[in-house]
Amino acid sequence: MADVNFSVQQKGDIYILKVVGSVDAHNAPQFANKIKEVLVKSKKLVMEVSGLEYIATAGLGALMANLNTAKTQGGDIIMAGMTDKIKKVFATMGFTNVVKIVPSVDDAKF
Amino acid sequence: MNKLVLKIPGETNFLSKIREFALSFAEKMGFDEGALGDIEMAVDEWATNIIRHSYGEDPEFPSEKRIIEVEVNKLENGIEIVFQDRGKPYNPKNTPLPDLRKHVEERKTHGLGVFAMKQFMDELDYQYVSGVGNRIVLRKFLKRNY
Repeated sequence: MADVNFSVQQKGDIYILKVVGSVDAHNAPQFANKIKEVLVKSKKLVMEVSGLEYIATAGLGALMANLNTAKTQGGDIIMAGMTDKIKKVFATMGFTNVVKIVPSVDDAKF
Repeated sequence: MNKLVLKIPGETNFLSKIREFALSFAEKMGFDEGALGDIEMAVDEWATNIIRHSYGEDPEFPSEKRIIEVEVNKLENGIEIVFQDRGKPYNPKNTPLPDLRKHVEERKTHGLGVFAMKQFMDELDYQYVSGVGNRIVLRKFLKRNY
């Protein structure tokens, strides 16, 4: 079974959601719900994804749906620490123009 | 080893097994990290399409019939991955290329899985085997540095 693990940290009014493992069609709903859950606490969300090994288009869809929610409520989701592998997927799908990608959590500015 | 076959239930909780199966074979062939990532995604997205579209939520396909057969073959210059299912016709060649900008604006991902597969693999052949199901052949070639 695809394994994905989450941990949440708070830094002032920003929430940091660390995602480790693989997101595929099986656990994409869990991934979507986790992002949604954290967005309830703050619309300023940084996703720390250096440990994200794989993301299927189902996972991208979950991310994008939540990104929409965050933005319409005046917030944002920033991706931090993305590996080259995941960056390639985002670039191929055209998502690098839509979501902010920064080298590390400290570089995330809202 | 030149060929391996995996027969696995067409259920999303087995997607990681399908990825592992294809990847461990491809790794031994000398594909670089980038190519391995491509193969991983193409395989996963097609398997997901079989589960969602060929089998779907259809009671006509009870769980014991929802099998996905994945065959990996070593070619002289690359890898060939064959998927055979027993479901409804679903031809990826008919799936329209997504308008990426529109997809991104509307935050939709319909059609992106097939798009990924087409981008990441070098060749794609599709056939609906009458009385059986969809058969798709994906090939990726090793890049030679001369």
